[in-house]
Amino acid sequence: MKNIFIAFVFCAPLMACANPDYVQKKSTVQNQSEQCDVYFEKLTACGKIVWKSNLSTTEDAPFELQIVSAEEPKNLEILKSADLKVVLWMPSMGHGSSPTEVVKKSDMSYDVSRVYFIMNGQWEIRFQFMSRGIVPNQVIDGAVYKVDI
Amino acid sequence: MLRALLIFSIFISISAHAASCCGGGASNTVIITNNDQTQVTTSMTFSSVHAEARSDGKWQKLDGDKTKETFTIEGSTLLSDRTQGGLSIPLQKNSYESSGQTFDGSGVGDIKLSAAYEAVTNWDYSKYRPKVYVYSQLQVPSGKSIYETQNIQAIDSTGTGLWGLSMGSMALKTFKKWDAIGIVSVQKLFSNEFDGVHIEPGNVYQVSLGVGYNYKDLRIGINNLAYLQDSGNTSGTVDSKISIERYISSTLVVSYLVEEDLSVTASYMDQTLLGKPVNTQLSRAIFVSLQKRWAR
Repeated sequence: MKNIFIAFVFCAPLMACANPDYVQKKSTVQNQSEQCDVYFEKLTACGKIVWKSNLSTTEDAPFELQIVSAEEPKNLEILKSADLKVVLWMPSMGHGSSPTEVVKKSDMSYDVSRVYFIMNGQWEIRFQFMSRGIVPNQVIDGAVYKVDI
Repeated sequence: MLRALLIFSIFISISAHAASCCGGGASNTVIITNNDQTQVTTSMTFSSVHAEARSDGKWQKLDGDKTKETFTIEGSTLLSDRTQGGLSIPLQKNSYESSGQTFDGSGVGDIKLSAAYEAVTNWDYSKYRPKVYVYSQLQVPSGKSIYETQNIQAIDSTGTGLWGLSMGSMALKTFKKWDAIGIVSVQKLFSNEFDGVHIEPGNVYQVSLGVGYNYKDLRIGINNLAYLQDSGNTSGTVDSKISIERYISSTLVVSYLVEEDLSVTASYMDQTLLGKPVNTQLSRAIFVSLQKRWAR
């Protein structure tokens, strides 16, 4: 009985050896159209992401979000008066990263920095336009952009 | 046989301080298994992340070097003949080095409080009947979680940010110079909210099997721990599903009885050898510990 148990503990794991399948390291972003990387449905606004550096887990990966078009002019006015919040999120792990920094360059473009993808895997960049004024910090509209680090 | 039990107790206090992502990892429990009144164990763990297992099962090497040093002090004391209480306090330092830059972060990890009851004793000899303990453990979110980090590499994350309650059972048996141990546990992690994101984590299940050989004052053993965390959910600012996490930790343990009440242990743990890990960081680690015991 004792010998059977000892043999089991020693031998059973040998039948479960890990067989690692390594990925080739290459960061990819979701399909990029010529004009529209993220689409804000409620505001019917199209945004384009312009990366300023390569994507990695070790360096800041800043980018610029450009609002290239909005189907209704009144939505542009809403955008101009809203604040942009950018959150990095890793859905499989259920956590994000340190807070990003958003600087409004103009009414239609934003510089986003402190973008740290702290682990390899699939990430989501979550954009949210937040209200100001009488009822602040309410989400007006949002969109998600996926990257694979 | 007494010496085997003394060395055995060292092994039990060292379970997989697994370098799981984000401040979490396998939970361990500190149980007195011999005739002592109190035991205190101090240990130092040096671990490095070898690769990341993605949610699709593929492995990916890190761009830099991620290491962790954990100093843990653990103590247990008998409250009665068959009940005992324990406490574990980890202090952790994380480092990430890449492209000539080094990021550091440190702090206390998640403190654990435990209580155990000797459900099946060996007061009367039985050739096959093991000693069995049942225990519960409370995880206190004393460490900074990844949800609270301001560090650009989240390197200051030392805890889960979640309260947890474990229930488990441990059976151990010595056969002359051999010993064997089996542990099963279930941990319920309680939900929490961070910055508008409601985290609903999955339960954690652990099964550990180990065997050792005792020669005079020396014990050599191996232990395999299988870890599985159920999928969870997030809601609020971010609605998404958290994938399951699983891995197997294999540990080689060498313990030496310096004196009747003092023991040292060294062990090597590897998470890259067995199983099909997913959604986790795979580490290799070295443990060194010292245990002092006080007799009844």
